Amino acid sequence: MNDRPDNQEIILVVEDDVLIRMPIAQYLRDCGYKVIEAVNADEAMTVLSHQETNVDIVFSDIEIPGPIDGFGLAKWVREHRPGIDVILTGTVPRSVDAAKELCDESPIPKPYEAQAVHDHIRRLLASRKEPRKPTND
Amino acid sequence: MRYYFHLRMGQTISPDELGLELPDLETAYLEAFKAAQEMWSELLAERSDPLVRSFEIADEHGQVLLTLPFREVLERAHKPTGTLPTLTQTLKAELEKRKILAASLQEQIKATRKTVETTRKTLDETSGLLAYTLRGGLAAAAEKIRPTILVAEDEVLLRMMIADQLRSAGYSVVEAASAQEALDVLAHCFDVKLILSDVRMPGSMDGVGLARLVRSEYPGVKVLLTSGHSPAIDAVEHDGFFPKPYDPAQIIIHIKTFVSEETPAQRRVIAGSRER
Repeated sequence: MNDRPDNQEIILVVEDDVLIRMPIAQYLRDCGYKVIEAVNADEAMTVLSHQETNVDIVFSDIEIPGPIDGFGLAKWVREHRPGIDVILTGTVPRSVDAAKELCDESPIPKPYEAQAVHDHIRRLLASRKEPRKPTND
Repeated sequence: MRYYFHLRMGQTISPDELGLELPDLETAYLEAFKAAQEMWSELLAERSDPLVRSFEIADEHGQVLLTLPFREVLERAHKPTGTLPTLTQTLKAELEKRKILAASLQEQIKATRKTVETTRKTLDETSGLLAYTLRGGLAAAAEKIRPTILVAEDEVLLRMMIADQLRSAGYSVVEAASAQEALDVLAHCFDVKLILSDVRMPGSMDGVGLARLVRSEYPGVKVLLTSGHSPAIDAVEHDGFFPKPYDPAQIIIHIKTFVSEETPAQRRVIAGSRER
């Protein structure tokens, strides 16, 4: 886990549909990021709580199975990992207002272009003046 | 500012001769009227067409401030009473317009410079993105000739770890969190060479069920199983079993006995033989 280049950002992709998760994860890897895949919020929180894994951005579907959806995950990240940016994606109409409270930008509507996701990630990473590391709690 | 009085002959003017220096605009106008009257008298006597088309008033740098058509000046010269203030106002208004125009031009120059700067930045970013995308494309091209391994594991940290190790070893890895996801991948991804699957996974199918199905539906795909328990598995249903906790290095060594990297040339040969 620790042999990645220092400048390689880590993106956590949370998506329960493997046929959506697989191509976007591969695309982002091809773009030079280290990508961790999670199928639900529970897995995502496990990864984010893992001390050795310093995630930079969480890219999560809003509608994911389990008791916590994408909004819940974003809220959890804001409370427990405030240094990590969250990008939400989905088709839920209520998502825009809710996402505005939790993320800096509106969610990316599905179906999305991989390039659009990459652009979004690049913007967020560029806006981060210094790399933020998760806090221990 | 000093003012100079020109006579424009047709479309030509001598740029190195500023003409008669005059102290102010009013005097320049009076000189223009006087010149027009004299010229008109000569023209009447000679019965010739006027060669002078217009009068110009310029500053000391030769910058023309105002052009006055000959006939207009002549008409005004014949009825000078009361016209001078009007003309002076007109001239001042004209100068004001020029100042505004100059200011506007300055603004346009500033805006253009800003646009150029923005365009340059955009071009820099675009070229950077292009280079980045090209690198990504090259990486993707390189990735395509790597053998693909499908990892089916419901424990996220373990899946993350083994997938990471396999990628570092040069394999392309697809991650599945259940047997059903693994089947979805197999149904859509034709390049999977080997499946590394946990035995105990949530859902209607476990790793053994997946191994059996792969054996029957995808006989060319190798199957490795892992488990923290000792499941009763028939050896013919898999190509290797690794009890948990396993050493990723051992798994990679085992995988290398089944799967090796293909060069693009090898891939072309294989593809050709498949076509035949």
